[in-house]
Amino acid sequence: MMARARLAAALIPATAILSCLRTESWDPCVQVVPNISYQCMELNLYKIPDNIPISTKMLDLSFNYLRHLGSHNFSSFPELQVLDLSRCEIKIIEDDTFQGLNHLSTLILTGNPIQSLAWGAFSGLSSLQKLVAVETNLVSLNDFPIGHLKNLKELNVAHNFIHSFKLPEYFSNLPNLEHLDLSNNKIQNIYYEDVKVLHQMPLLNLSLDLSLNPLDFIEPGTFKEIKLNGLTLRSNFNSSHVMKTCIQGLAGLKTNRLVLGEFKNERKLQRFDRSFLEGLCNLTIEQFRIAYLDKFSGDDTDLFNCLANVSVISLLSISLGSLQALLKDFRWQHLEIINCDFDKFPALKLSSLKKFVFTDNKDISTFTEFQLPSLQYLDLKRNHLSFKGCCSHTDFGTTNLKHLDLSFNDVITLGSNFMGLEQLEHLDFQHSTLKQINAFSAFLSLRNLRYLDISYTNIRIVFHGIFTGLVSLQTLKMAGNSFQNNLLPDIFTELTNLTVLDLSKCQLEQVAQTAFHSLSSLQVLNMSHNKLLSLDTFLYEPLHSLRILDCSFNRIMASKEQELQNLPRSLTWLNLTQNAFACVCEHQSFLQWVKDQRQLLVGAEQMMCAEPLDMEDMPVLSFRNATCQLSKTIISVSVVTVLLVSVVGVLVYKFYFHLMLLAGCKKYGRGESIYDAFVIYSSQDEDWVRNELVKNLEEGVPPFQLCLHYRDFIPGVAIAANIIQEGFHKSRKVIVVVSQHFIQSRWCIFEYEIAQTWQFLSSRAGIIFIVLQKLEKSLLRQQVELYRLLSRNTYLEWEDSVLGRHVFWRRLRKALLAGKPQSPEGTADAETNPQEATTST
Amino acid sequence: MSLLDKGGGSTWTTLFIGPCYRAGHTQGLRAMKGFAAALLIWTLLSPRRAGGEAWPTHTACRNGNLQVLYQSCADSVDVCLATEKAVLQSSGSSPDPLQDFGFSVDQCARQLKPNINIRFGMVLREDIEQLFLDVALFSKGLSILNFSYPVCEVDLPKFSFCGRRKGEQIYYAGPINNPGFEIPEGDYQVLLELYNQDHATVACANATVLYS
Repeated sequence: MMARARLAAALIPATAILSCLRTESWDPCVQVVPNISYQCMELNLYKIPDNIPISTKMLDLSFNYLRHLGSHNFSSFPELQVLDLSRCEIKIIEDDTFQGLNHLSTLILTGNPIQSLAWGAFSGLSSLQKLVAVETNLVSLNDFPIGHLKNLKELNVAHNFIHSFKLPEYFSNLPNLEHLDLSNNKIQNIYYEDVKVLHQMPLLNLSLDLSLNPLDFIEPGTFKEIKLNGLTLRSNFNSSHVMKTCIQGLAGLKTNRLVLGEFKNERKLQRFDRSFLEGLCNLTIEQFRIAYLDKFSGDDTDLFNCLANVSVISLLSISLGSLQALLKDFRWQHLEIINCDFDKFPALKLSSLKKFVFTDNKDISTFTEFQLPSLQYLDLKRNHLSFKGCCSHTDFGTTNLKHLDLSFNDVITLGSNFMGLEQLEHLDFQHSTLKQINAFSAFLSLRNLRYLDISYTNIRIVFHGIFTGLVSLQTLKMAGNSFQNNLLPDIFTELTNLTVLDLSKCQLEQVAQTAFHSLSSLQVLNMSHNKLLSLDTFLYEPLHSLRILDCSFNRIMASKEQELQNLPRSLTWLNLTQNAFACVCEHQSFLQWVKDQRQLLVGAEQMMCAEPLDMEDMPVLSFRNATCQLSKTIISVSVVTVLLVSVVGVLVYKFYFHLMLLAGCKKYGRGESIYDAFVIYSSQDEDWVRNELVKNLEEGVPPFQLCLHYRDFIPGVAIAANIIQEGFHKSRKVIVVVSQHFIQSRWCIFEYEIAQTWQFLSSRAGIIFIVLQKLEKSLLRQQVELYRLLSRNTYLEWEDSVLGRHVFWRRLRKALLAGKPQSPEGTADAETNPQEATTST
Repeated sequence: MSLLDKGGGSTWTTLFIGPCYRAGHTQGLRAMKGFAAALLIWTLLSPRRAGGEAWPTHTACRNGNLQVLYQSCADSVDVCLATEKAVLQSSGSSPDPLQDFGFSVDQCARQLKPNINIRFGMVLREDIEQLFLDVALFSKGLSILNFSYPVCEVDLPKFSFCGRRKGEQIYYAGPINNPGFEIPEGDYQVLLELYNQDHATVACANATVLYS
């Protein structure tokens, strides 16, 4: 252990230096309210920071190291009203420390090991109302220099080492003193002399707390004729005998409230019997409270006899053996029985009882009727009660009931519709199991009811008349239940005065469009923790007074833009956090609305996207409209590109042959050929050849050179020689214009046959057939060879329509271009590779 | 009164978690000096401290296959300052371990007995006119059990520490109202939070129960 300590000692200075590196700051305090309130708790301060404004009214310097308070220590803060100096290791408070703090009303010195407190320490605190000096090593009230604090209302000197209850003379200077907390001190004896000052100067409003003092003796007569507002004596007595004699010592005391008993964690008494309370007969008490006394022994029938005239009586965790003590008709008006281990419900007969609180008594399982004719307030929460046929006036024996709390119990079956309980204003069933709520309009007669809580009562609402009759209802809490088909139907029609409605955790998926139509007074609506898919603002449009709307923890993806205008204008608080927002461009306007309404939307920063995947768990506020603009750009760019491409395509198509020419056909030569094609046609078709074929091919792009007999044949040479020399020899291709006349013409057939032979011999020029008109099959059959060829080969058919001509000329041009040698080298290639040259025909 | 000087003969498992605990003028913790120093070193050397934010994890109890780990989940404290404070205190007259509350339990067994005794002490940083305990039990990220227990209520408070204010020391030694049961095999996370009437966290601990 020593070695470790040494290691610690070695490490300490290093760490201290390290840790000091970053603490230098001139403004370490938290500004709670600018210029008014500053919080400097636990900041390692050795003095008050320089930059606290002079106007500061509340200053929290707790958990620092002020250690020594000198005179006029706080004079720079003349406006101070609250000064918290808890745990500041203050050992010395000099004279005039608080001088100048004329407005200070609260001074807290908790947890300071004060060793030296000067006589003038508190001088100047003319307005001080509350002085807290808990755990300050205080030994005696006599030495405490507070005699001049005329306005003092509360003096808390608990948990000190005060041995004497002697109230010093200066108490006569403290006429406003209301609370004196002397609990957890060392006071053992109380003598007549100690309270002499109270005889001289009665402090009627004084409440005195002496709990946790080891009281041994109270001199009889000490409190005779003394009036106090309250006296608390909890966990004071070491034995039942001491308790008994001390209570007898209180004889003559008149007090508004007397609290006796123990704390759950400070139990000293082993046994408890009725003689404890016998001494109370000599006291005048209005309110009596007793807590944590158990193991009652003996007959308790007369236990409360001395308390017959008390108006308020509270029993907390008192183990009474039987109920006999409670079954008399005392004049009690309020009775509280909390956690008292009764095994039966007491059949009370207290005719004047107005308020009855009977809670946390876990052993009771069935409700039994009682007769309390004056009862107005009944609280039966947190028992294990089951209640059959709730509720009517016969159950409680009263028709005056205004407040009924049956929450946190077992099964409550609604059997009658609150007959005779029309005065009810407050009804609470939460966390009990409600049965038969769908059977009839159970609340029909409760026209005065203002508050109804049926939260978590395991009900499934089917019956639409469930809330019929509740015309005065202002608050309706029904969280944690469910509805048929998870649809909120039109059930609030009569609740025109409703201001608060809680529908959270109701598994709602849909809401009827008219559900909220009559709720024009509604101010607070909680729809959180449901399964709503969108923010349907049309629903909330009729809620003209709505201020707070909570739609958090739903599955809302977005809302439509035009709908957002429908939100009530009065709305000041809207919670949409924990939903499944879709941060996509489709909802861009909603997302923009979220950004614009940051004031209205609570926790807008915590609103997270659920989709798309790349935005998952990102704040909605981080959604950038630019993303959508970007995609717009992308869309427009692509549209333009497609357009351009198609235009280019069209252009390329249109100017295909121009391009071919441009791209490479310049180099094209016809090689040894002069003509691109030799045209074989019947003279009957010459018109078509001249007007169509020649015009289109020779004047079009690319320009082809045709070999035409009427133009290119050399005169004076035999026709056959011309056909061979000029026609086939000098042409790359042969165009055969097949028509009726062609078949009939001898020359044409001759030319065609030569062409075929030529093609066969040179294997160079392809034959392109153009069929000008439909041919009669019988005629065609005469030319067996031609017929066979036309039926096996592709040929061009002339069609006299715009599209047909277009297609025709393109095909023809292509056919003519095919096999055209591309370059001088290409020509050679073409010659050595005749197969290639003929492929396209 | 110290948290731990009532140990008696029983085998108490002691835990210290969280930020600086300062008893100020109390004398009882002097006996803890050695322990405090050891703990201080341990905490200073704990690798998590380098990160600055999280409190160190403590082994609350280890018994055979059962292991309970612990970490404070109080969020408002500057660890660096807490360290410095611990340094100052351990070199001064009143040594205190680095913690925001002290807690000990009298048993560490798979078969949990009903009403086990605990001891709990801390210096309040919030008023506790009302005090609530929230317990949440998780296994594999799924919530198994949630409950809220009112420790202090305004009217007739049950415990003597109810109603105490910021800066005061509270101490509880006694049984807790737990049912007896056998811890089933598995890993569990238990989140314990004490909060007051303003919903401000008074103390908070994140426990992991490993039973294999």
